[in-house]
Formats: sequence, C-alpha cells, structure tokens
Amino acid sequence: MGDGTKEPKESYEEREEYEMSILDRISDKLIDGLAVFINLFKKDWRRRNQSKIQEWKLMAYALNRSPPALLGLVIVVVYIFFGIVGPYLASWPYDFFPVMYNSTSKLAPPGTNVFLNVTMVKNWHVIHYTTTVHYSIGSDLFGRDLLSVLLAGARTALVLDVFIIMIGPTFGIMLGLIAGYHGGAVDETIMRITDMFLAFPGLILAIALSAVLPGRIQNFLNYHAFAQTLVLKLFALQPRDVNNLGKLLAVFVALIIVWWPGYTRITRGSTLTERENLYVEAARAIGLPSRTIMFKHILPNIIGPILVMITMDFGGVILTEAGLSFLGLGAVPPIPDWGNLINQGAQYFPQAWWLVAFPGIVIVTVVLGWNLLGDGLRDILDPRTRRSMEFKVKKKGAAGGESNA
Amino acid sequence: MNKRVLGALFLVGLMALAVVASGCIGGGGTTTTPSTTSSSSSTASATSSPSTTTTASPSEAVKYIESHLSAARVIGTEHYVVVVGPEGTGAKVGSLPNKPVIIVSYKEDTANTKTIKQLMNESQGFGEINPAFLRDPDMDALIQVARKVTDPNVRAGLYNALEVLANRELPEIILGDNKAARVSWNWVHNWYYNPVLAPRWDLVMEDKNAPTVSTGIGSYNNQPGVMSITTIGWPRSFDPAFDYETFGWEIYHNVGDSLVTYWKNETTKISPDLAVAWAHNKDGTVWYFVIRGGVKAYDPKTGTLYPVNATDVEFEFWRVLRGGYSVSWMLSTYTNLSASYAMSDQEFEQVLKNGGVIADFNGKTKDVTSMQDLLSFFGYSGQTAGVYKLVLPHPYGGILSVLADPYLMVIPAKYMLGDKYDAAMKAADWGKKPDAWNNYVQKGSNDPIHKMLQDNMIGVFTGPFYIKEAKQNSYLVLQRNPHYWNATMWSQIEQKNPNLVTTKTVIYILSNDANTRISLFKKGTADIAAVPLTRLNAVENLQLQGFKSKIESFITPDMVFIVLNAQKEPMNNEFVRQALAWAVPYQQVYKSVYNGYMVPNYGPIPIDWLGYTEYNMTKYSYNLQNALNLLKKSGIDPTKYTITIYYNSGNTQRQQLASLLQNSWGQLGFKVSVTPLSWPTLLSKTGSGDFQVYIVGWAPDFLDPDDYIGPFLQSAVVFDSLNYKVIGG
Amino acid sequence: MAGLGKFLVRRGLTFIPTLIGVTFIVFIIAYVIPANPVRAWAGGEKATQSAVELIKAEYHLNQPWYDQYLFLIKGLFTNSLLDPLNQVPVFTNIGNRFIVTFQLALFAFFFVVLIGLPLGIISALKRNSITDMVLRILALIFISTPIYVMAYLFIWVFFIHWNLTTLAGIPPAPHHQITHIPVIDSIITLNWGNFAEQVRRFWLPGFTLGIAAAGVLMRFTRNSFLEAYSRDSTLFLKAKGVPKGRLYRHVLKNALVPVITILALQFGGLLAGTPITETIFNLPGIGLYALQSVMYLDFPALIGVTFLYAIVFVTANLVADILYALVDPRVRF
Repeated sequence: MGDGTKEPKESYEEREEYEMSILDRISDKLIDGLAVFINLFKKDWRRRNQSKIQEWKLMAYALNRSPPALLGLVIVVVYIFFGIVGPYLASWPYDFFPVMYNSTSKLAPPGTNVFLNVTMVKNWHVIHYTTTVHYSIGSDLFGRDLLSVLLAGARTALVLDVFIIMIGPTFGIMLGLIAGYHGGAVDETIMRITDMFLAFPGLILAIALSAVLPGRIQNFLNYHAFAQTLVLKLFALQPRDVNNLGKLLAVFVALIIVWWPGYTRITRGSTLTERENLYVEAARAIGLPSRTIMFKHILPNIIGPILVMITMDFGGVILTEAGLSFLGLGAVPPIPDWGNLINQGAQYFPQAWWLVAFPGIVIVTVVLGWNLLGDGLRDILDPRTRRSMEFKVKKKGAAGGESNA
Repeated sequence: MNKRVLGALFLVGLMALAVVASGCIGGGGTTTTPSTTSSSSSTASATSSPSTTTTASPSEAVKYIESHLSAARVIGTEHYVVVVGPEGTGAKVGSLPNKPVIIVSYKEDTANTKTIKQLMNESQGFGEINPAFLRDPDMDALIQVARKVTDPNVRAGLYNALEVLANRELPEIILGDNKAARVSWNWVHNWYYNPVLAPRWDLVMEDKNAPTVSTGIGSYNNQPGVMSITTIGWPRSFDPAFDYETFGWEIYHNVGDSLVTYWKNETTKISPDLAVAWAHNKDGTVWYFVIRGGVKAYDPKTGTLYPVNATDVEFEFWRVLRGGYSVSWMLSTYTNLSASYAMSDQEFEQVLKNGGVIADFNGKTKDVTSMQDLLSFFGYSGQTAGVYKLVLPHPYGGILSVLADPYLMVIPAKYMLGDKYDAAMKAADWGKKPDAWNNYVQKGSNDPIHKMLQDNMIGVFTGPFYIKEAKQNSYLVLQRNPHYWNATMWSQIEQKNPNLVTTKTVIYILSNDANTRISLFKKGTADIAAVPLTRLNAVENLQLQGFKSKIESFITPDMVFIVLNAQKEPMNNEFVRQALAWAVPYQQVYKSVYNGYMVPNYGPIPIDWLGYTEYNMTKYSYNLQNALNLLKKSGIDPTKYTITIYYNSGNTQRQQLASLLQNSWGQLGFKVSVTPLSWPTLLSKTGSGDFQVYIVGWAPDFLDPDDYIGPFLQSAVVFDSLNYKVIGG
Repeated sequence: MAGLGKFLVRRGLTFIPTLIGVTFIVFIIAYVIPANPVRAWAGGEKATQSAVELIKAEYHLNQPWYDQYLFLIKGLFTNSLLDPLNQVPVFTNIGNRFIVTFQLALFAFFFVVLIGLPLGIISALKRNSITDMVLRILALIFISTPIYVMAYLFIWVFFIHWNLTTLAGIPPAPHHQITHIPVIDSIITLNWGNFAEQVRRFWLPGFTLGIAAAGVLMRFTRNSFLEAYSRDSTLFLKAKGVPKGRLYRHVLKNALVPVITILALQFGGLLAGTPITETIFNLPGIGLYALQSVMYLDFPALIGVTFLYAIVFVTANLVADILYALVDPRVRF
C-alpha cells in the first residue's frame, strides 16, 4: 500500500496487500497529491479522512484493473484537453470562408490543396493576399478545413456539456432529495410536476423554445456587456459572432429543462429507501436540521448510481445536441459544432462522406468514452467490488514484493 | 420688363397653347381610353421600338413639366424619358434627351393614406406596402398608372423607369433569378417548360422501351405510360379555393380546366381551354367568355357525369371569392363578381347585335356582331354551353393571365350543392343575382362544400386525369380521365410519334429527404426527380438499361432577394443600402450556394419579361472598394450598428447565403448576426416591420410585371388625382 | 389481487393532472411565442389581411386564453378541429399517422428483443471473458452512435447496394382490417403477400431505431442476470447441488422480472422517439408530424400530438407498474 506517511500502520492495513502495477502507483501518487492539496484548505483533513483516502485508492485500483474503464478515462481526458485548447490548436480560424475566394474549396475531398486569392477588408482598407489551404480530412460547405472545425467544435461541445450537467442534474437532485425526504404533499406535488415534464416530448420543447428564446437571449446579451464577454470567452468566438449564439443557447436551455426530471425521479426513489435507515432517525432525534441530513448524510450514500448517470449523460448531451443540430436547431454557422457538420454531411451523403464519417467517429468515440467510464464507475462504486476477491492478489512471498513502495 | 422678353413670353405661351389644343397625343388623361390590342398578350415580348419618332421638341415637355409639376424626378430609360412628380408649378428640369417623354403628375390624399406605423401594425409588409416599408410616392404613382395604361410600349417605359428607381433606392437587393434544373431519364420526351404553369403530364411522353421498375406502392409499376415523379410537397387543400402553393396548383392543372390557359411553353399567347372564344367591350371593363359545350365532369367513385356550363363557371368563381382565402385576392382586386353573371347563347347574340364588342386573338382584332362571327374568328365550330360575362372594376392588362391560373378550375355546381342546387339557383335567379348564394356558401373553412371537396379529394374532374388514390405526404396517383373532352388528342399525338407512348397514369412519390429522391431516381423507380441544385452531380451521367439521365436548365422568373428595412437604422440611409449591395459576393454565391444555377438581375422584374431592362441601371457586383467609399459618403460609423439577418430555418441555401453575407458585411465594420426563424415566425415579424434584414424569394402568380413591381415597390399611397401624359410618342 | 384494481384507479387518477398539464404547457408556449402563425396558415407571403382575419376568427384566436384552450380541447375530442395546414381534422391525421409509428415501433421492438435479450444473457453467462468484453463494447457502440449516422450507413448498404428495402410510400393495408395495424392484420388474415410488403418497407427503419435500445437492453439484461445470480437463493440452490440447467432457469426467471418492466418503458420510448428515423426513411408517422407542426407553429396539431405523447408515456409507465406488481409477489397494494 504505502501511502508515504510515517504514521504507524494500523492492523487492518497489514492484512490486505496487493500486487501493484505502475498504474496503481501513479494513481496512488495522484490521490496523495490531491489529499495534500485539500489539506491546505481544511486543517487536519488528511488525518481525519484516512479511510476515505484508502477507499479512493481502492477505487483507483479497481479502475486500473478494468481496461474498458481505463480506455474511457483516457478518451475523456483527451476530450477535455481538446475542449480547452482545441480552438487555439486549429490551423485555420473557424470564421474564415474559403468559398468566398475559390469555389472549388467547397466540399473538397481529403488530401486536396486549394489556392486562394483573398480580397478582404481589414481596418477600412481593402487588402489582397494569396494563400494555399491543405485539407487533411476534407472541407465543409464553406470551405473550412474540417480538422480545424472539429478542434474548435470540441470547445462548444465541452462548454455545453459542463454547463448543462452542472445546472440540470443539480437542480433535479435537489428537488428529488426534498421530495423524497419530506414525503406527503410536497412529494406529490413535486412528482406530478416532474411527471408532466417527463411526459412532455423533449424534441418539441427544444424546437418550440428555439422559436421563442433566441430573440430574448440576444437582447439580454446585447444589454449586459459582461454576460456577452463571458459567453464569448467561454465559447472562444469572435465578438461579431455573439448574436449567432441565440439558437444554440435556446437549445441549451431546452436541454436543461429536459434533463432535470430524470434525476429528480431517481434521487427521490433512492432517498425514499435511504430514509428508512436508522441513522437518519438518529440524526433527526438529535435535532440536526433537515438540510444537513439531506445533503451531508443521505446524499453521499445515494450518490453512487447518480454519479454513474451523470457520467453517461455527459455523452448523452453531446448525442442529443448533435441530433438537434441534424434537425436544423442548435449552432448556426460559423459557430463550429460537430452536430452541424453532420447536418451538412447528411445533405450530401454519400458524396461528401468525410463530413459524416469524421465528425461521426469523433462523436461516437467521445460518447463511448463517457459510457465506458460510467460503466467502470458503476463497478467501482459498488462496495462489493472493492471487497471482492478478484482484486486481491496475494503478495508474492512474505518479505518483499512491492508492498511498501 | 422690356418688349423683347414680353415677345418671347408671348411666343412661348402660344406654343404651349398649341400643344394643349392639339390634344394630348398618345392617349394621356385621367381615366384611360384604351386603344386597340390591350389585353390578349400581357407580355408583349419586350419593348419594341417606339411607335413614332418624336416630332415635338423636348422643350415642349420641359414647359409642360414646369407648368404641371412642382418637383420633377427625371428617369431616363431606353425608349422614353419618364418624369414624375407632385402636381403644381415650377419644376425645373434641364434639357431632356431626344426621346418621347411620359409625364406623371399626382396629388397625394394624405388624409386617406395610411402611415407607415399603421401599416406595420396591420402587418402589411409585402401586402399593401413593400417588404422594406420604403415609402416613395413617385413609385406609387408610376405603379398605379402602369396598371391602367394599355399601350404596351408606354407600359414598358413605365416599368423600365420603376426598374431604374428600384435599382437606385434598393428596398430589396436582388440576388438574382433562379435557374431551374430539371432531372429526368432520357426516355421521357416532350417535357416542355412553362414559367408559370406546371406541365400537363398527358402531353409528356415516354419511350416504348423504357424499363419497368416496381414502385413499392401497391401494385403500381413504373413502366412506359406511367409517369413517376418524386418531389416535395402536398396540396394544402383539395379545394382549389383554399390552396395557394405550387404542388396543389400542379394537381389542379392536370385534373381540371380553367377558362383559358397557356398551351405548353407559350408565355405570350393565350389559348382557349374551357372557354372557346372571348371578347370584350371597348374600354375593357366587360369581358364575355363563350363556354365549350359537351364538357362533362367525371366522378370516378360513382361514375356519374355532370355537364358543365357557364353557370358553373360563375358559381365556382363566386365561391372562390366567398371562401376568403388568400388566393382570392386576384378576384377581389381585378374583378367585380357581383355584377358578373352567366348568360345564355341567345342573350349573348342580343348583346353582340347591339355592337361595341371586340375580339382579339392571334394578333388580329375584329368587331364581332354575331356568335357565328366570333366562333369562326377563333376557329371553333362545336357546341357551346352559355356565355360568362365578367365585369372588371378597372380595365386590367393582365386579366387573361389571371384567369389561366389553375386554382380557377371549374367544378360543376350541381356536384357541390347537391340537393340544394335547385333552391340555390332559383334564389340567385339562375346566376343573375349571385350574392344570393351567400346563404349556400359560408366564408372560411367551415363551409360544408369546402369540407366535401377536401374529403373527396375534389371528386369530379373535367381534365385529362382524375385523382385515383392518395396517401397524405406519401404518394398521389392520377389516372387518365376516360371522359376528357379532348381525348382524341392523345391518339393523334401517338400517331405522330410512333415510338412513344402518352401518359395514362401519374404517380407522385413525395419525400422530404433529398437522398431518398435521388435513390429512387437512380433505381428507375422515378422518371423525374426534384433534386436540390447542390446534389446534381449525384444524378449526372447515370445509365439504366441503355438510357441516360438528363439535366436541363432554364432561367425561371423565380428570384431570391435581400430585404433591407428602410425604417431602421442604418438602412434608412440610401448610401448604406447601396454599400451593402456592393458588398454581396454575387458570383461566389452563384457558384457555391446555387451551384451555378442563378443569373444576375439588377431590378425586380424577371429577365425578359415586359419592362425588363438593364439601361441606366447600376450593375452591382462584389466590389469592396465601392462599398467602403459609399459608407464613407453616408457618414455613419458601421461599428456602432448591429445588423441581424433573418431567413427561414430549414432552407439550407439561404442559410449559406446568410453566413456568407455575415462574413462579407462584417468586414465593412458592421456587427452582423444570422438568425434562422421558423416560417410562420419569419412571416409575422417581417410583416410587421420587426426586422432589419431578411432573405426571401418570390415566384409569379401570373405572367405580368405588375405581379412583381407591385408587391416589391408599392407603399399604399392614396392619390386624389393621378394623371399621365405622353409627349412626343 | 383486489388491491390491483384500487391501485390502477389511484394511478389513473394521478395521471389526469399530467395529461392536462402537458396540453397546458403547449398552450402556454403557443400563447407566449411572439409569433403570429396565422399568416403562414393563410398562405404565407401572399396572405391577404382578410384571409388572416377569417382564420383568426375560426380558431378563436381573438378570444381570451381560457376560451381558446377550451375550444382547442373540445375540437380535439370531437374531431372537429381542422389542421390549418392540410384541412383535415387533427385527430384523423393523428390516427392515420399513429398507425405508422406504432408499426415502426413494433418492428423496432422485435429487433430489440431479438438482439438485446440473447446477447445480454450470453454476455452474463460468459462473464469477464473476451466474448463478454466484445459484446459490452458493441452494446456501447450501438448506444453511442447517433441514429442518423447509422441510418445513412444502413441505407447506403441495404438500399443502394443491395436492394433489400424500399423508401417510397407505405404499402397499403390488407383488405380485412381487424386491429387496423397492417402488419398484424396481414398475419392474422394470412395475407402473406401483404406481410412481405410490410416487412420489406419497415424492417430497416425498425432495425435502425431498435439497435440503440437493443444496446441498452443488452446491458440491463446482463446486469440483472448477474444480480440474480449473486443472490442468496441461487447460492442455496447451488449448495443443494441442482444441475446447471435448472439453476440457470431459476436465475433467468428472477432476472427477467425487472427486464420486463424495462421493456414496457422501452416500448413507450420507441413510440415517442421516432422523428429522426421517420424523416430519413420517409415514414409519415407521428414523429414527422410533430416535427412539422412545430416547425410551422401548427398549434392545433401540436396540442393533439403532445397529448398523444403524454398518453403513451403514462400508459407505458402504468403497464410497467402493473407488470412489476404482477410478477413480483413482494409488491402488494
């Protein structure tokens, strides 16, 4: 095990020893580092939460022993990486349209080179220059290099993912906790409203909202300069493209509204069961406020399956947004968006197969990554797994191995 | 003043008197006195050379202008000089070119003219006022005069002037005229093109050796004699009174008959259809249509045959107007149906005997005095079934074009009224008092006749086909009408073309997905396919059992344009509008968005229609330097303005166009954004003026430039008086 | 199970507010949307003001909101509400199109069960082997691929290359209509010709639609099977020395309980999740109708469609609950 501390080993620590691979050691170091980091903010945290740190390490071992989960983790990390730096890695800006200068650049197959004679206005002057574009994996309807758009689109996808999941499920979980804990009339009302939203076909809501909201969102953005800059920086867009976000943000709102009811239902169900446990009654008896009981005691115990659902939903959001883009909602060019690329590709299938194939592969891979990770998490978070015999490999010999690396 | 000046003034006055006394040449005046061939061809193919060369000196015109207009706007066109302005005195113009001058003077009735704000509140954008809400009384004057004028040359001159004004003031930037690409297999023959009417499939033929492919719809096979077409759409209604879109009109044109029609690819010559002959009174306000005898409407469900006569024509027109759906605007604007009625052959003979009835046909004109006279003038010698007298509130040059539209197909009244027929006819005195029919036909879509037509998918048919079966948004099958009045034509056609067969069945396979349509075409399941312009390379050079695929292209009168709201900054500045026009990447758009299937047009009249011109027009092209110069001239700072471009979502071509505009106009310094809106939202926002820029298209209702100029340029100005005079023509 | 009857009634009552709520939400959206769709209903750009006024009066659009709401609901149920875009009563439209969607869902469901169940069980039996891993990844790929990508791929293979399906129209229903669902009717009346036509048209869209749900079912079956396997009752049987066959049968019985309830929910989901499939395969079903009615702000149709979806959702849940109560003796009401 070896956690690097000089504290005396407790007896239970001696009993369970594992054969550690290099991955295990990396994960150990990471978790230790995280513990030190948290310790900076909360005094004495590391000492008091020894067992929790230990549990985390076991979870990491379980993760390391499951190749699909590892693969998922790698994909997710890569996705987040490109989501953050993608727009800066792209060799061509997303709002440069080669079709204005050479019509052969439209839907150019992978591997072609196109020569451009550019005339444009910069700083009130008309300028000319020439350049050549090399399309490694083809171009889209506007002649944009597909690779660059895919990289820039990662940012759009990541931002959507993070914010929708941050807002939607959080709200849903809170509601579910309240409904499950209090029961009675509160429970009934919340569940009826939730049912109403669950029964409402999400697609219709998304389309209807995209008819109403863009105008309002645009007005809001134009009025509040701070919000405007924030949104621009988030999505890595030029200031003049900010108003195009209206439709995308409308879809964003629609997805949030569609996403929270599922979490409310599940959370409520788990809360109902958990509520019957003795410790809850004990907590109530000693007079803890409901809020503390709900969030500090019940929630951590039921978070397992919910966390799994959240992980899978990261992928689900991308899939749904791509579907809406296919139907013509979502991002409006020039805003880079994976779903929009497939929308373009669908109209030209199978001529411009690269517009469907490459964004399709990217979407499938990213969603697969999240799903694999979610699957792995489900196994890991199941306490029985951590205890199960499969993860214990007896120490090789009593006096050695790598027990105290 | 000294004597010399007095003398000069006296001479001038004498000359002016002479001009006035000699009577305005060429038919000027407040109300029109139509000369001869006014209406049979509404599109006299382009402006022919002016009738007579100028005899009076331009200074005559100058003097007339000075004494009749308080301000004058001079527009030079190819054959005329058009001068327009408010009534008054004192307008000074320099010397005019040596051409005939058309002078239009008007007095605005400001009390009765709606304000722009009112029009916006009433959502009249593209209704009473042009979509840009640009108000220019000069343009309104010219438009209203052009409607009444009957001399085609003067009319052309006026429309030329309107083109020049539109080109200068740019309420709309015309992107260009669409070219249609028609995709078919080359076993399809004689598929003619008409800019306004859909093809009549019984005239289109197939090779006898064309392959047979099963369609998957019932037991229908696509074989020689079966025309299979895959396209988009569905009739909005099976009641012609409630349908104002192309697919419905295509069906009506194939299953019904209107009074007159354009035969095949004719655009200037009107041909008889249900009416075998027509004539009008001297001033063109009363028209008589002799109805063909022996026509029977066939009901395939019961096998019943309903004979058709002039009363049916009257009832159906009256019902379309009563229904009140948008398509009825043509009837309510150009006809007076309350005063129109059906008369018997004998009554008509009486009218003819009283004289004053003129017929125009095939370029000839004749005063007709008897039915026999009229019929032989039209070359018809069969039975007749009454005469329909159509009264117009004003003479209208395009009235025959309007009557050729398929929604005016005739459906027998007996079928529609059923057992109420006798009571209804009696109440209306057999058509002499049509307003009595108000009790038998309701307004709107709750009318029982409307519901019946809708449920029966029309139900009775006089045309070459009848509707055999249909499944909404999926397929529609037409079958040859065994009781069509012109059935002999088919065997004649087949005799002339021994290797071809005429069409007996038409199958429409509807699909919104272009890939599906292309797939169907590739396998031969469809003979003809509607393929988006950008997918044409998928259907080029295909082969099937020895036959090849074929793509033909024609310039159509459909056009795409960009509307600039003249009531919103910065577009209220004319220089800004012109700058924006110079910053549209026309050629790039033609190539990449429309695949080369669009041609430039610098004004709102379709290419080669009456009134089309390029003389004295700025030929806008993609020139960023010009745009920058004009922006400077306008004095505004572009960075202070946001321009939002609307278009209807789902239209990918307009989406691409909008993105390209955003890129290009953005370079000028504007903050440009693009917002797709659903069609209904777009209509309502643009109708009420709540927009800055939007992209839209227009297709003709009938073959007359007024169908374009009116909606594109008018601004609902009401005039107290409106006069025109032609000097030197 | 007398409790079942009472349970049904109770559940049914709680669904009424859901149904009303859903239609009300649509209505509010319609009311709030700052767009006047009437112009589009009246013919688009060329609509005349008088035509617009006429249609407004017909649909009570000038009346206060409660009047409008009642008018719509009443018209919907008496089937007198006309769809302004094709002049056919809304419920007639919905009825015709629901049949198509239902048939599509049936085909999809067939594939879901055919693929999902056996593969899920195999995956569980061969737990942690290569087969298991491959099947799990396969299931995840099915779930992770956007449906239109798969659809276009399949069309390219099965329609363009091999002529195994058709994309045009809908085969007509067989002559004798009992359930009004063409494929079922053709089986019942032994009309094999018509049956072949229906299959030819529907198998590919059904397969495409069902495959993602099959992936979900595969995983769920696997988990459920494993969970039933690790229960004490199984351990007991194993200890007793029961032969493997009977053991697995016992496990299967327990495992299928939650699976059946999921199937009910999945069928409901299939019925509601068809718009994209219908667009690509040109099936005039409810999904396409819903899409078009939202695109054109066809509110009368929209109210009808959302009402239908709400009923589907509510029924699916009810059926799932009933099945759960029936098969699980521990659940009593």
